[in-house]
Amino acid sequence: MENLGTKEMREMAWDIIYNRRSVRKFTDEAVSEEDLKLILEAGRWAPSGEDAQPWRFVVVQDEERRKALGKISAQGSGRRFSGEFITKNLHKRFSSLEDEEKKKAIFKKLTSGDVSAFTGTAPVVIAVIGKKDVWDLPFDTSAAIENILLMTTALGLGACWVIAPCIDIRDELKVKELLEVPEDYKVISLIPLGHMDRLPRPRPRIELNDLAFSEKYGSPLYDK
Amino acid sequence: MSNDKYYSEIVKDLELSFWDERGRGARYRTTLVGVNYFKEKYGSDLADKSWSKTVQNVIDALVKDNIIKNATYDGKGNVLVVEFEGCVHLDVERELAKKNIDPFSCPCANVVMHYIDSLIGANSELVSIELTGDNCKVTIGIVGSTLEEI
Repeated sequence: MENLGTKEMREMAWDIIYNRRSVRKFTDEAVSEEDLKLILEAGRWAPSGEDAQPWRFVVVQDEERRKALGKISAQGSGRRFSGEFITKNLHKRFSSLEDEEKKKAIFKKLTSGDVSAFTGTAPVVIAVIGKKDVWDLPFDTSAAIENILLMTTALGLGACWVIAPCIDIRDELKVKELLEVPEDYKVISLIPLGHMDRLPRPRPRIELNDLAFSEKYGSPLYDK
Repeated sequence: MSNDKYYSEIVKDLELSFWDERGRGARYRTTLVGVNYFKEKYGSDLADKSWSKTVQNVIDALVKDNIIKNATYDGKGNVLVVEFEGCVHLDVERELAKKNIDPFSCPCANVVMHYIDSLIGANSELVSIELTGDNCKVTIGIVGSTLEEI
């Protein structure tokens, strides 16, 4: 308790938050039981509305089951991006990219679902599921997921918050069937995690003065 | 006793609530809306070996069940376009459009996708829904196969 508010604690917390990345490449090194338990404990200690604690974690390590999750993930995101390709939204999104070969490669990676297929390559996949009969399910489970991601980062491991296999109800039903999730629970997200190949670079962020407002929307809290 | 206007309002309010809750994500949670009715009534009878006959079977069922007045379709490669005429859901979509919300759910398209998906063994994608007068033009992306390969 006496460590809270210290300079060291502030810096450590900031380091963890800032260095959290969406990691999609893992080494073959196994995740230790000790690390896995700490990661799950971090999820368990998230806040929840009315202290409902609706999260449950299905830890998948079996190779065939991980491959099946990877396939559902690939199908989900490949389908979504294929739709974006057909409507030319993908072309608009990457209109500033002048390298045509690179653009073509990106389109292929997105429409093939490869961008999410990595889910099956992680040594551990945590399926975060949530009990439906609570007030604040999406918020509670998101808090648990972020705790999981931050603890993973603190342990020097990598993870990614993957929604592609669950966002479409048709894909979620496949995951539910695979993991035998009962009807009164829903699959929120998959978190593939493991030892990372490398720490990816951070993605650009909206400037703080463009998203923090004083007293009312639109009145910047900070000067530019 | 029936009050179509009331039910239309209810459906519109529900779709608005869904949009409020999930924004663009709402479209992915409604891909099975309307499918169960047809599964229970027609089972696999609407599916044919040919994608074209399958789409026509679905259109005929939608007309028979007074959900649409008619529909036309065209498909090539990975793109299937169906234009539904005089759909009972049209009023809901018009009300959403007044609030600048693009239509994100089409039960008729969901039924077409369900039966096409049974031929390709994969899920297709509802790419866009355009309102054109009394018609709705839906574009469906066939993924993992082409219409010619079915």
